[in-house]
Amino acid sequence: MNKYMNRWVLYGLKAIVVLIWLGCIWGQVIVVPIFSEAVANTYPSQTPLHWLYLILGELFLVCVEIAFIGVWRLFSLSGSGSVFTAKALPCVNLIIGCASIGTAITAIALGTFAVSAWHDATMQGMDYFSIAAVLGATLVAEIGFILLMLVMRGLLRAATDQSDELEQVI
Amino acid sequence: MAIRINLDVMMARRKIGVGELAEQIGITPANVSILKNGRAKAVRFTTLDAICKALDCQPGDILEYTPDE
Repeated sequence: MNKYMNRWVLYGLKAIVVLIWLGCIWGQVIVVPIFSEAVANTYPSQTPLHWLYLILGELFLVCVEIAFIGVWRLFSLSGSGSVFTAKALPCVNLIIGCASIGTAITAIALGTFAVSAWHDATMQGMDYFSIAAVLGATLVAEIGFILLMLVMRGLLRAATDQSDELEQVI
Repeated sequence: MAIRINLDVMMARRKIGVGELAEQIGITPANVSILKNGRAKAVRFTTLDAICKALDCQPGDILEYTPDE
């Protein structure tokens, strides 16, 4: 497996994961609190939902951080040549689990916003549909990602089974 | 498994041990033991070729088919 994997590519990917983690921390400390407060202060219909959006945003970023722990572990397994073993499957399951929770969080945020802001006279139509469209597009992308990961998990299981069978050949 | 590789007799005739045979074939002693004990599920032709070369024998000398009861 080592002849197929360039370790510098893996180092680069791990560096990007570190940047993503730092970005998530920055998002949790600065972006989410400011953004949720801005939305709550700008539109009266959203004011009671400030804490909900704050919690959903923080939880979403926690899901991303945990998912990338699984990604980091997969990179490590790829580098050591043991990605086609039973060790890889829990990592993929972790990623799918976090993506599923993140999708649920997005769905809750979209549903809450769509219902609460529907009759807000202070919110312009463009603002409402823009925010709803962004959340909706994010939701669709997340569902697509989960489905893709399910396919990848199937391929990983097939490759692992074949690798196990090949291990038995003397 | 109905097909097994009988290494014991040929190894005794050639007076070659597990470790030495493993080294000549290019597999681990553990895998030689697996072959000896009939627990191997699959063997490469290259391994079979190396075994026959090391033991100076034909595949038929070490391969045996016993139908399952």
